[in-house]
Parts: sequence; C-alpha cells; structure tokens
Amino acid sequence: MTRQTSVIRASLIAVALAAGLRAAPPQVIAIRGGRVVPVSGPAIENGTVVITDGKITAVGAKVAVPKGASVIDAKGGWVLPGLVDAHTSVGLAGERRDGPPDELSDASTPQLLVLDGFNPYDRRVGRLVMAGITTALVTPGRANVIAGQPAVVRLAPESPDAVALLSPAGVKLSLGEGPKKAFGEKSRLPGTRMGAAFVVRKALLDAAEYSRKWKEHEASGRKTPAPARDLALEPLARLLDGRLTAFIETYRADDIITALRLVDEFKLKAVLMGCTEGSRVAGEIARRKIPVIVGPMGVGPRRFETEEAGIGNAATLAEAGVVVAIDSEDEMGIGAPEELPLAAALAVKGGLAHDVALRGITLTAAQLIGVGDRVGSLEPGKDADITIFTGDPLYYRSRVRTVISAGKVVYEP
Amino acid sequence: METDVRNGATPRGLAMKRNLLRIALAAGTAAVLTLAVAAEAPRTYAITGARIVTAAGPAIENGTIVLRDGLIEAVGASVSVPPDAATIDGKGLSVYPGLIDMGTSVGLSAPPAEAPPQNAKTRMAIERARRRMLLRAHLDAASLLKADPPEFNRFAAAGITSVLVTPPGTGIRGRSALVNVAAGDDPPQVGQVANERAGMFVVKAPVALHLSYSGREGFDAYPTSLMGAIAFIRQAFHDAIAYRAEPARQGKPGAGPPPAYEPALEALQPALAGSMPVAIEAGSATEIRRALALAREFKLSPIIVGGLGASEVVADLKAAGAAVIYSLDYPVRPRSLAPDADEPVRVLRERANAPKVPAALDRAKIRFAFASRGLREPADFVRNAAKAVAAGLPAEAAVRALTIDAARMAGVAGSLGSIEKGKRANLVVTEGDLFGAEPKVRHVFVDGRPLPLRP
Repeated sequence: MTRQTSVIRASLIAVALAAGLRAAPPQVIAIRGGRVVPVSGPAIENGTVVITDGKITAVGAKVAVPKGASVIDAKGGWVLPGLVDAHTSVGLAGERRDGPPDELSDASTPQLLVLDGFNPYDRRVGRLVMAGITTALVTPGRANVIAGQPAVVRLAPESPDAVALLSPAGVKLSLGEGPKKAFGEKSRLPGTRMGAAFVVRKALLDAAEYSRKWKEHEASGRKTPAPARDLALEPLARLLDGRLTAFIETYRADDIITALRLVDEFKLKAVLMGCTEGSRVAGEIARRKIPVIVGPMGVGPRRFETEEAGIGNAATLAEAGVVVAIDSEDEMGIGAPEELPLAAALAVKGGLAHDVALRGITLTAAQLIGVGDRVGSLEPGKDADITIFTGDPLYYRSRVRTVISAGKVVYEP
Repeated sequence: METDVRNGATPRGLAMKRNLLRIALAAGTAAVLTLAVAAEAPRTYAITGARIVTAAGPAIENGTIVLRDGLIEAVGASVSVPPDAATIDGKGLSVYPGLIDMGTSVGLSAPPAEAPPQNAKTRMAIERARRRMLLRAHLDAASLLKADPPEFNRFAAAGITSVLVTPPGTGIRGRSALVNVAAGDDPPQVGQVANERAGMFVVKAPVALHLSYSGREGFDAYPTSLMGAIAFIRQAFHDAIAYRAEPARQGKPGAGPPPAYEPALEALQPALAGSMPVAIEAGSATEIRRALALAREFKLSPIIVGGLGASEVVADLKAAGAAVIYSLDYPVRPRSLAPDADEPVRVLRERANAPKVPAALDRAKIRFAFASRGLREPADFVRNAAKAVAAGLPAEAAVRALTIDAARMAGVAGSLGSIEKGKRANLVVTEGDLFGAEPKVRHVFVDGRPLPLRP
C-alpha cells in the first residue's frame, strides 16, 4: 500500500542515542526452534528469526544463529509479528471524567491530535502489550462526526520519543447512532443522520475553499498574503488531496451507504471501520476498493447498532473482494481489546480463511493504518516487533510466551 | 470585539492607571525610595560578622554588608561600618539574598470570571464566552495585584522577598509579574487617582506568558478535552500570526482599514517574537514533551512549570534550551483515599522521585527555579527545597535556584537575586543554615527596609 507517510522520527536525542548504540556492539537476538509465521509468506517449521539492533535481519529455515547472539528458544511455539489493533481508543480514556474520550462540545473537531491526549502509561496499554499487541491505531470515539486525527502508536516504545509511529494517521469520521445520540441529547446539530452527513459536507466544502486559497497563494509564488492558517481545515484539505485517509466508523447498512456517497462525492481515500452490516452492501464496498476494519462479531452484549452483527461479516466482505482487517474496538467490538486474536478466531469461525484472519490482525491491519512498511510481518528490514505464542494465536487455549517490541523483550509471563 | 471589563474600569480610567503604573516603574525604585526616605527612620543598615552567602561567588565567612537607601552599598570581609548605620551583630547568622518564589497566585484579586452566559441566545454566545475565558493573553497579573496583600506577610516570614505572581485559570492565562512582598510607605505626592500603591510592589511586569492545558472543567463549549485544549492554544498562536501579518496592520498603503483590534492576539506577539518567555504547565514527561513540541512549533522560548517528570526528559529540555520552574508543592497521597487503597506504581514512584528531580536538573545544567504553587504554608517552600538538598542537590545550587537563577529567569538579574554592590537590598538573615533542621529567620529586608516578622 502506498501512502504518504509523515513518520515521526526520533528527535535529536534519539539520533544521538542511536549513534551511541552504533559504537557499542550490536544487540543481536535469535529466536529459534519455533514455527515461524511471517504472514507475508508461508509458515516455516523450525525457523529462525534474527534481530539486530531492533530490526529484523533474517527470517528462514536455514538461518544460522550469529555468534554472540542471545538466543530465545521458541520450541513448540508460534513466532508471529507483533499484533496490530487497527482501531482502539486505549490510552485516551480518562480524557474526560465521564463518557467517551471525545471533544463533545462540537460535532466537527478535525483539529484534535490524538497524540495530544494519548497517555502511554494508561494501564490498559500495558494489558495490550501483555496480549502480544505491539501497535495500535488510537482514535477518538464515535460521538463526533469529525473526531480528530488518529495516531499509530507503539504500545511498548523503546523510548518515550518513539511512541508515535505515524501521526496524523488520517482523519476519523463517524456516521450513524454515535453522533446522533451524543448531539441529539443536547438538541444540537447533528441530532439526525441527515445532520451528520451535512456536518461532513459543510466541513469538506469549507476545506475545499481553504485549500483553493492556499493553492492560489502558492501559485502566486507566495506573493499574495498568506491565508490565515486554520487547524481544523488543514487536515480536511489534506483529506481532499488524498494525502490523508478518512477512517469512517459506521455500523448500519444505510450509514455505510451514506459513507460511500460521501467518499464518491469528495473522492476520499477511505477505510471503513466497524461495518457491522457491511455484508449487505459488500459489492458496493468492493467495487470502490475500500478496505474495511471489521469490528463487532455479534458476540457479547449487542448494542443498538450491532443487533445484526454476525461472525460471517468479515468472510462475506472478503469473498466479495474487500480487503479486511479485524479490530477489537472496546465499546462496539468484542469488548476486550486484549482479546484481539479471539475476534479474528470468531471471523474464522464465520468462514474467513485462517491466513486472511491472521493478516487481518497483523500485516493487513498495519497496511490499512499506514505503517505496513514498518511493522505487521516478519521480514528483514522491518521493526523487530514479535510475539511468540504457545500455539496458533487463533486457538482459544494459546497464550503469549514472549513479546518483543523494537528488538527488546518487553513481556515474558 | 472584546471590551476590557477588568475591575469595571472604563478604558480611559484603565489607560490612566496603566500610565501611572508605568511612571512609577520608570521612575524606578530610586525615586520612590528617595521620596520615602524623609518619612522613614534609618535607611542605612549594616550586618557585621555574618556568614554571607552571596549567590554570586563563594560565601564570605565573616563578612559585613552595608545597605543604604534600598541598595547594597558594600559587601565583603573587610568592609567598614558607616557611622550612621544601624548595626546588626551577625555573629552566628547567615545572610542570603532574599528568596524568590517563582509561582503563586497569592496576592492577586480574582480575575473577572467568565461564566457561561445566562439565557444565551445562541451557541455562538456560549462559544465566545469560553474563548474569552481561555484566551486571556492580555491579562496582566500586575493589574490584579492587591495593595499590601496581607498574605505576603507569611511569605516574608519564610524568607521569601519576591514572588512571581501568575494569573490563575487555564488556557492562555495571561502574563505574570515579579513583585516584592513589601513596599515602603507611599511617596507623599503621587496619587489620588489610581492604585499606584500596588505598583510599588512590582519589580518587573510582564515577565512571562503563562499557558496551561486543562480542558476538563467548565461548561459545554469547545474545548472540553485535553486534545481540544491543545488544539485551541495552537490555533490561538496561528491566529496571532495571521493577525500580525494583516497587510493593513503592516501599514501597507491601499490595504484598507485594519481589522478589529484584539488585545489577546496583540499580547501574544512578544511571545511569538521570542522576546517574552512562555511558561507552560507540564508535569509528567509526556506533558513536558508536548509543551516542548508547542514551543518548537511556534519558536517560543519555553519555561516548563511543574516539572515533576523533568528528570526523565533532561535531554529534550536541554535540546530545547528550556528552563524549569520546579514545583515544591510535592505530590502527596490524596486525603480522600482510603487508608488501605492501592495506588498505581507510577504515582508512587513519581512521589518518591519528586525531591530528586532538582538534583537531576542541576547535573544536566538545566536552569531551574522553584515555585510554591499550591503550598499552603510558605515555610514549607524552604523546607521542601531542603528535601531536594537532602536528595542530592548541592546547597549552593539550591541557593542559586532560589535567588539568582530565578532572577535571571525573570529577567531582573541585573538588580536582584544576589548579594552584590549596587543590587536591590532584598535579604534574608537566618540563624543556622537555610537548609538545616528548622532554620530560624531572624531578619528580612526588602529594598533595604527591615520587615517586622511575626512568628
């Protein structure tokens, strides 16, 4: 997946630190003896993965363990890329004393940067790491129509500077019951589905005008006075230029159709999230080549919009040709973000191919949120985010044995 | 357009008041003191045979210091006492520069409250009220200062002779002022019109622009979240940049009439120009990084206020050239917590680490000063600084942080903060070391005038 990424690079300090490390002997770890599942290719029985200074440097059956490497014995276990949760609000809760972590004063707040509210020390972040999840797309909840700019974060960063893999990762939008309820209660726009679509249109049209003014200014060789910068319209202008992805959270089929209409109207590069009733309009989604991050599996308490949820949703979408990832989204999804593999397992039970489901919580998820070049599979050159399970991660009795993030063992039960 | 509602004064009255304040300042201490001299008893003091911690070099073990007309006239080991001086035998006493508390809102009258408008007709009215509440760059702490605030007596009794008064509130809170805790008698002439009395306390105003992110309280208007509060402040700086860039405001011919005057955006200009430091509230390492990112984005010169997590981010602070106003209001276990309730390890660790942070800042050569902030008892200010000393901060560094480094941060190091000839005579005289067990404050001088110390 090609994507304009503005990967947050380590600051001066980290560079200095890295320079310091280079002088020291390289940190080499070899994981051997396990079943290596790179997810980008076929599984390797009794394979070896070599990590050098936080990066994967070799993966294969006949890879020699370098001299001086510290060895992790994965015998009997499955070695996978660290899991990727493509949709969570972890680390944002507690933002407001009550309710979802949204800026509930206004339905349209694209100017919010999730990174400004993300608390890497949130206890739940640690719980995800213990479950083998090393990367997540953190987004605001679904109350606002335009909720802000999500960030892809490393859940067990090697240094606090390295929290963000990608920020902003896109713009988060919601259609349907979320905004309708949050603002309907206050008798404010958008108390209806129509209102929500209007909020999106109005904001995007304003952004188009803003974008035009800036382009005019650029075209004049910056001779005309620069327009005033507007932090709310800037990300939307980038959305219109296809430089940011629209992550649209919808559940009901009619809301999905509204989303598709907006995508057509403004030619957005979009990813759908949630998408409970996606199977009803799978053809429409597939035709537009819009990927979907599937949330609710129809297990556990049903919410208003997940009445129709079923475990076959992901499979139906995939059959129709839609690229599918799977999330654990707290509120509407499986309800426990650390049970991400279980969500994938349910999708398999519903008919999704095992390897597609695994990719849906690793490589595909990473690609959809814009960090497919950094994480999500076991390939030389990628960040050494690795989780060793006692067996197939989608099997309910499998447990986490070791979690490695950026080449460091961060969890061993 | 926002009108100034401070104290209900008319804009004209306010301008007058400001002018008077400026005059009082411009005339300077010298003039004020000269006028005051006539009315007051001896204005020349000498402390002999004391240990003098100058904060400008090594301590003088058996020294003499002479104060005249509010200034330090002489200091050294072999200084002769002028015949007209009232002499204090300094045997067994230590003389320090007057301590500077770099952050409190004590002594200020409450700024005009911005409540949500009753019976607001539109959303816009509510949003406007919110904006006025959070965007008060033009609010000067000096203009809120009460005349002879009684609270200052307790600061003086603790050896604190100057405080950085900071406008309360959240968002872009306004500009702080460095003020003395006491002032001499009124000059006989000036003043039937305005409150020049408070102006006599002011050492420097404005000192810094103060920001804090907290969107959590308040009414239902943007912003109500942390993310929103940060976006709000960033947008305000962008607005100020656009405001300055207006062709009409730049005096370009034919650009038409300039758009409306906005005091808050005007007041942000010195910060954007880098000529006024920006003090940003930040406790945890994450918050400090966010604050530094804001400073980077707008090329501000940052001062981190709070700084509990500063020891984790010394490299970032160093790279940003940031200074720290470290809160001596150390975190304590909340009283509301049940006696056996658990607390997160991180909270416990932070609490245990709090007195060690200044030592880490000192080792990293990051300039820092101390603030009393929420401390109820000013005497705890020195006691908590002593805890930092016990946790590894060299005593000389602690003295500097409490005096000359604070003065430097406030931009008044030329006239305050150390015991040197020609500087303003703000002194604290203790029996026993300042950071020893229970030091006794024996004398406090502000502008060369001894203050009555009530225990």
